[in-house]
Amino acid sequence: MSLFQVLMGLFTLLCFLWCAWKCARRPGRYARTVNGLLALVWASACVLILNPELATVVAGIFGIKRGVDLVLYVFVILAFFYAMITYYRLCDIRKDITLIVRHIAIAEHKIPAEKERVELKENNALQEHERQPKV
Amino acid sequence: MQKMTTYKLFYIIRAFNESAVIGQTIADLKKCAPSGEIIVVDDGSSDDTGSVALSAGAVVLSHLVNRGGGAALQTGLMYARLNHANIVVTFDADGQHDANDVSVLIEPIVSGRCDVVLASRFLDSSSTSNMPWARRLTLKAGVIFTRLMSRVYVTDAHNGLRAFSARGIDLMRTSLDDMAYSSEIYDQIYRNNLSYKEVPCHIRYTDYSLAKGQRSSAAIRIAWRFFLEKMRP
Repeated sequence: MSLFQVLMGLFTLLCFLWCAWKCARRPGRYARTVNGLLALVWASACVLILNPELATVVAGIFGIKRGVDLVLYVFVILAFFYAMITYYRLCDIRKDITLIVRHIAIAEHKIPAEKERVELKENNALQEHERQPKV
Repeated sequence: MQKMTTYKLFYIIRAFNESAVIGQTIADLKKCAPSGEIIVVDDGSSDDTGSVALSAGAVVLSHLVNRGGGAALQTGLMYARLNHANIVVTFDADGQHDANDVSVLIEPIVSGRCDVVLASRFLDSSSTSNMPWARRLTLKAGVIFTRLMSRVYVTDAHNGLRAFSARGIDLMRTSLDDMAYSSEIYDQIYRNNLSYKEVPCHIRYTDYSLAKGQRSSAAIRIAWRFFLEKMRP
């Protein structure tokens, strides 16, 4: 076993354990799914680094000649998957910003002077009516 | 649904850097349309759109930063809900809509016949006489897209002139901030089983409205955004 295999094997193993721990501990279906998939990716990477010939065997099952090609295809698919997750997360952040902006806009709405005068007059009349002693 | 004897009408105008025309648009509504409260959602304009609208007599809701047409519409609808509006009319700020069309637009809601009324420029051929061909083509593609994606059969899918009943106001909760919200409206109509009707309207294609309006190329981006939202896990 080469030094590269030892170092990278250890690194991917730690990453797998980290993601598996997060998958088990984090609440919420979304976080669990993402961390579960990431744990699967790191576990696969660890196995393939420690046993490179396995990639060629698995590639052969799918009709791909070289194991490295299979790894490349899987990497492209995962990159798309990650881009999608990032996109939806960005959308959620945008929606949160919009919610804050909306609440500020409504809380600080500006009323035209004429309407403000009418509302003030109505409020004063109401207060005057409430102040009058009930017979 | 029952016929309305009295109603509280709100106009929602989304505006982004429209100080040149917003005053006239509000004046037209006050003069020619049924009386109601005019709400201008100033979507983070860098000019004095908000102050012009306020001095013209509109209630102004100011977004601190630009959030897009869909976000502005939802801000207006939320304000209308909080103020117990019975009817909401959405109206474009750029002056392309005719305030005289509002009476016809709200009539099906007042008479209790439907929840949403959508204006269509294609029901009356005279209103599309000076429409650029690229715009016409894009709008027709939008109609086909809406029919396929939302299963709502309309003749004009991207017309900003719409009216909502109290039920429509309550259930119309779009989530897309940008202009893709206009496709999402049809999705909401279908999902919430809202009854709808199309009425003809007149569109003024001025140099200003053509310059300010969405470019035809934006249609692809809008469709893509809407598609991604539909595919959301």
